[in-house]
Amino acid sequence: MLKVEQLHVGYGSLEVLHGISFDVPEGAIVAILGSNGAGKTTLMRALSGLIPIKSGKIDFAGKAVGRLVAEKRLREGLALVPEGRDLFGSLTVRENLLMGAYTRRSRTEIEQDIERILERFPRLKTRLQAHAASLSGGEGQMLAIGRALMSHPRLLLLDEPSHGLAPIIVETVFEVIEQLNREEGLTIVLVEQNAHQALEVAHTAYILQSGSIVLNGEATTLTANSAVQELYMGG
Amino acid sequence: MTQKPAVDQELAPDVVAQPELTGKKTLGGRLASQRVWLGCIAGILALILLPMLSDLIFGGSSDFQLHHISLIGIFILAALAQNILTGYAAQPSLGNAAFFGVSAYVLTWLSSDLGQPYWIGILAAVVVSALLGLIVGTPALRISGAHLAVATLGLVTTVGALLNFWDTTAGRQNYDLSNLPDFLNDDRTLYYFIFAIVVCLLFLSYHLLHSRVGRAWIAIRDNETAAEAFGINLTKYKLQAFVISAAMTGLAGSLYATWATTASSSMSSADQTIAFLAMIVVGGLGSLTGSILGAIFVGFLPLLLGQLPSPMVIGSFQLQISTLITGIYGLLLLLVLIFFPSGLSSLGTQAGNWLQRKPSKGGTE
Ligand SMILES: Nc1ncnc2c1ncn2[C@@H]1O[C@H](COP(=O)(O)OP(=O)(O)O)[C@@H](O)[C@H]1O
Ligand SMILES: [Mg+2]
Repeated sequence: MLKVEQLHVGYGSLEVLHGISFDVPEGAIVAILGSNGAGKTTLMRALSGLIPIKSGKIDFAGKAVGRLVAEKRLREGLALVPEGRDLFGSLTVRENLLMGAYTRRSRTEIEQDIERILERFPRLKTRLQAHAASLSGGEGQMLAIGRALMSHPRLLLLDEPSHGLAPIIVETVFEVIEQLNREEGLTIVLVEQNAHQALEVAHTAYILQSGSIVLNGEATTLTANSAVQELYMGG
Repeated sequence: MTQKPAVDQELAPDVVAQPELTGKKTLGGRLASQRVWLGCIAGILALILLPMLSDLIFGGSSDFQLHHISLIGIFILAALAQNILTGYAAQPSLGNAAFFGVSAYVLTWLSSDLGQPYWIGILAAVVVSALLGLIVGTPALRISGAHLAVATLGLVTTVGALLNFWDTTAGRQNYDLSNLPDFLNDDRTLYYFIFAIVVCLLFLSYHLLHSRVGRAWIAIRDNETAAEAFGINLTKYKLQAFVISAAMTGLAGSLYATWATTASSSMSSADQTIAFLAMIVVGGLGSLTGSILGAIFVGFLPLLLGQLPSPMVIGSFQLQISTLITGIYGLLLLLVLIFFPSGLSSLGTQAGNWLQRKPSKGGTE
């Protein structure tokens, strides 16, 4: 569904990603693991069209999207749950959800989708009129995911969904990710430092080191790999 | 499927005191919207009754007072315009005073020199301002922060100088606005005219700010990257804010010329710019109520202080109040900023929170 080939991305003259290639089959959860500064967020921004690519190809559902602006990619079904959630703090929970559907027009469909999302995240239902800035970390992450779902994505890009959350909340976030994949057939690309959790839900995984992919394979294989264990799972 | 409720309960430890909090939120929301409506109705009633009250309070000199109250209305429009651009769309542009000045000259030129009807003059002033907003806004989108502020301040002083140059070459001391419709020569009808426009624009702004456009502005302000990721066209919405703000300032400027029956190049000056900026900072960035309170504070307080008797006699002291006005005013400004750093509008929120909390705590306070 998503095919990335020889992707070079950077900021100004600084190149951060040095020719990255990977494949995301439809219906899969693919994890991209890397430590701080490896270029994970840069990759997510490049995939969603927030920064331009220097060279390489991004094909999504058989279409070359590498040069499209963010809005066009969103319309194609590529939605981002940004690092640190990036909620609209002074808008309410409901308004944040509406912002997720900004490219869509049908009011009735949008209302139905809000209902559907609130059913999935009942916690948000009770906080519907609260400002997003007042949400707890877990609620905020649910809202960030809900907001992305409002755009009717076919593929969800998740940038460190576990970042800054208490371990018990991290677990529920990963449960939600698994549910979305299993129940709605949503394809997911998950970027994480938390290799342990990510490998539990992912089908396949890629290891990103200083802007290059150094290892890839089935999640179970990588979990057993001693190098991966040492580097990313604290031995 | 059975996992879903479980997921939700596990989120609970992350949040404190949920049930009460959410219960209060909905009730609070209802109370808040009722308060807004009551406030609106009370405000409009007060505006209608004010001229009659001012007769009672100020007696014979009431027209003078009413004339000055009308000025607040004009400042509210200008503050609203600046707040939409800076408080909501987050553009630190200081260029509005240029539109304020230009629109006054457009109206006066059309009305006094060309003998065009007043309404044509107002319309032209607003349209010219909107176009200038578009012309200024387009390059302005490429610069940000302090650069934008300084560049637009440069625009203001340049435009002020040009208007002054025009006055000088035309050999006129004052550029008087003649040809006004009769009812605008009367302080009372001028007052109603101005405040009818203010109420309409407050209403329109409220709806604009709660529409797709307003949400887009706030989203851009809160998080530009996320806004872009969700398909909001940054250029389009920022430009829209520039144009709407300029048009509204143009309306304020032409009303100011109507009020003063003259156009002056000092309307496009750094002083005027600072006044607009002070209004929204003192009142509250990103707040409609803030625009109103800021306009009253910055626009009207100096006039009110000017009404104090001078010299004021306290015991054996004779105080030359008039020489102290600027100082008193500056001090008050300072105090407001110290005690209400997020603006006078937070006063309302604080009072509201306090009122809301009181009954639910069962009088433990
Ligand atoms: N906006 C930026 N401008 C310049 N360099 C950046 C920017 N954002 C990130 N970088 C650099 O790119 C590299 C990768 O960063 P990032 O993609 O955020 O890594 P990760 O998300 O894996 O922690 C880092 O060396 C970082 O300093
Ligand atoms: Mg990152």
